[in-house]
Amino acid sequence: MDIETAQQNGNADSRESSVERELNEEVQAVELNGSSDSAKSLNGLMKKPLPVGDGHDRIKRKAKRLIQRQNSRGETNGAASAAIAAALNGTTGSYVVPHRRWKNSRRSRNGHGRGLPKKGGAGGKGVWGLPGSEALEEVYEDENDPNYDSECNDKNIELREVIPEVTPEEFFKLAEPIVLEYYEHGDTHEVAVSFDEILTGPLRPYVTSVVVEISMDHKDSQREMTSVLISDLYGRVITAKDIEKGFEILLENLPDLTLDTPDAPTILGNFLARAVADDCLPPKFVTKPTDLDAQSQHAAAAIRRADTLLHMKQGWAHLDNVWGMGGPLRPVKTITKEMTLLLKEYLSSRDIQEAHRCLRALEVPHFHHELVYEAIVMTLESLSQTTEEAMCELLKSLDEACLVLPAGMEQGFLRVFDDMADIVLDVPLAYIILDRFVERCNRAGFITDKILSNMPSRGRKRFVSEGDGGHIKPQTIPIRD
Amino acid sequence: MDDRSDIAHEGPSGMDPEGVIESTWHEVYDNFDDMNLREELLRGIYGYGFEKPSAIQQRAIIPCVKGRDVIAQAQSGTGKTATFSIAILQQIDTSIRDCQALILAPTRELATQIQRVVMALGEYMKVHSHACIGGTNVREDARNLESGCHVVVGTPGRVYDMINRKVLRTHNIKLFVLDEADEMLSRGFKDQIQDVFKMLPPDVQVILLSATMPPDVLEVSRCFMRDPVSILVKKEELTLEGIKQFYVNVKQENWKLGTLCDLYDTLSITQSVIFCNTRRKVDQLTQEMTNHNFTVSAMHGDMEQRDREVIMKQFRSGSSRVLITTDLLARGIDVQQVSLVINYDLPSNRENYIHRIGRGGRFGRKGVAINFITDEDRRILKDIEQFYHTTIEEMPANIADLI
Repeated sequence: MDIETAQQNGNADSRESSVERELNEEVQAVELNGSSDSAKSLNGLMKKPLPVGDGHDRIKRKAKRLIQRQNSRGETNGAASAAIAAALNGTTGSYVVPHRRWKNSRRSRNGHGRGLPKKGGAGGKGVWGLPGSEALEEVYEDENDPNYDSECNDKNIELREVIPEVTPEEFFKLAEPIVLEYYEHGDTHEVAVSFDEILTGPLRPYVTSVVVEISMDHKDSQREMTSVLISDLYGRVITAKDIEKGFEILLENLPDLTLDTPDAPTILGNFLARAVADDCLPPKFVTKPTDLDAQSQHAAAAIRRADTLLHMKQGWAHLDNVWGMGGPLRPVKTITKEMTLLLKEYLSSRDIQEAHRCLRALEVPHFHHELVYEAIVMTLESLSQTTEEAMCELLKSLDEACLVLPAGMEQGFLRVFDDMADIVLDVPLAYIILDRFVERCNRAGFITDKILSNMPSRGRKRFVSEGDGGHIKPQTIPIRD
Repeated sequence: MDDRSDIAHEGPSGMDPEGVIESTWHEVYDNFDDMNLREELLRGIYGYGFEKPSAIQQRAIIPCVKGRDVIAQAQSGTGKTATFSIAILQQIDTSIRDCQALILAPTRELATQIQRVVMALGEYMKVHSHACIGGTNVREDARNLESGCHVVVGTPGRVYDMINRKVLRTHNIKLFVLDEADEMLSRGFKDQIQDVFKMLPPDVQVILLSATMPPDVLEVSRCFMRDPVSILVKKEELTLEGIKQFYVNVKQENWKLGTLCDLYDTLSITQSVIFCNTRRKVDQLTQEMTNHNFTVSAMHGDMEQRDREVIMKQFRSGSSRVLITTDLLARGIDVQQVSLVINYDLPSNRENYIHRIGRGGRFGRKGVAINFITDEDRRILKDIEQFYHTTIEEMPANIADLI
């Protein structure tokens, strides 16, 4: 690299002397001038690596100095030619100091200094160099120099690449964005690849503990994803032993986790049971815990919870839904089904609080218009005043609790209005009931003007006999053949 | 399609553009300058990137600053955190090195986020704030608290633990904030909140914020608050109304890139955001696009928050026109002035769809979204249509005219 740049300079300068000579000299100059890479690699194995930017800087500086040297050589050339000229003219008195000659020369000055000090104080004869340049690296290390630091140049030292040990806390910080991203994209393979990049052997048990710990800060749908993640990482990134150890760490930390998540023992119990059902954890971890007495009451509670879950039924299929059926990752159909279920349950229990809780558990705030829609359709189909009352009460409470926002309420009602033509096929009285229901809701005060103004009015027309053009329908319709 | 967008331009009838607002406080300030805040705080607010107060901020900051107990309801993402942070910073006396404001949050993650907002808004105020994280950092928490923090954030359980350990002194606390109260109660923190409240001075000011107002939240407010001002902003944060949504069937995953390159000229007419599902894919796509000599900027996975903000600033200022990102990286960053969004991958989390392409009413509700779908994605697209009760049509040839 150094040599190359030097060559370029030399070529540019070839006017003054033969190319070959220049080249040779310059190569030498480089070696004297800068701590050339070759020199460094010879004696400077242990030297501190230079910062990257500095290297470039040095090349430039060298190049400049080179020019300066060339110039001084140019001067000698110039002097020689001057002498020749003088000899020719026979006038010795017209001798001009070399750099003065340069002053009046018409040659381009671009890139070729005149041997004068530069503005920055660097270069030129009799100057000390650029201020601060003394702090730059020594050009040549002299072992006999009393200031020579043998330690930094010791040839007995061998440098090796060391991968810094990641502490569990650092691992948590590294893993957190991976897990949070997983909550968004749901791709377990992606997580495995990311973990491969940061994982070293002793940290494997922490994979389980970290993902479970982060999921404690989130909701059931994320916990479901976490359970899936553990089961998918099993065999790929972590082993059964690692999972076991991970859960042991969690059980140990449980008192602390409980401070931030009061339900932590139950949640951990669910995780344990699910891991057993997913064949990631041997059942004996839960059924025959080794040191139950040594553990905190929270840990004992978690294990008891897991044990109960595993003993509840013969199969473990129910554990697939240990985190509920909600969440924005489930198919829309499933969520709709859950909504009709919770409405039916509400109609029989009339427990508004429970209905709210179920709705929250579904975690689909942007789909609450579906609940409104289903509730109204159910009302229309039920043909009973009590259902109307109950549904109106439920919708009012949802509005008051801000669980269904006015926009969602509107959308639900408008969807029913749009579908009325279809609904009326199955429920002939639908228009009357809808009318009554909207009126009731309006009295309850949670309906917007938009809903009222969009009320379909086709239902009324049927009962306006004038619409038939004065014809009165016969009492008995003749039976067709 | 057409008449729907017509309605959208005028805003939905029967609804205030700000949503249905029920409030027992009637002063509204549509400008931070008029709120009579401290100079340093105002600098922090503008430095953070706020220009105009949101609906909840317009109404709730003043009663909070005046020392009233306040119940505020608004959807998440509408600036509730900043509301109480501003009120706290306005009232704090930085010369007293003791805890003066205590904020309870449902999770550690949220607690750290809140602390970051407080720190950013109070950048010019020499405010010390701390989020109690616990775990292995208990000792660090204790040391930080003992050195005197003006604002302390944590989950109710954690904060109560700190008070019990006598590392958090409560006698100077003037403000007590319950953020996402509904979430805290549903996580089972009711007793802990009560425990903490009992340790506070009797004249403490209480601010309660919540996205929903279930009865148990109201009960808590009845227990702790005196004659509270209540402000409800019943408004959906984001809407798909007025956004033209299209899909392009690219058949296979590896044909997406070619389609995107074909669309690039259209994209760069206006500013656009391209969403991928993973950071890795963002990196890949950025590389491939650059290889094809297209200019794109990307929110890179390994970027620090600060670098991301630089990219966002470049994007906002218009010096870059195409941004590639993921849901997580774009979270909390306002890209709503962008009129074209491309879902290079359909969001696997359905709730993210509206976060990607929906927008708040104040941005005029215009925009185009294009979804790239493979054959397997058809079902997911159908689900999204049903979920948001919206229609996503096949992309027409004259897409450039629509942007």
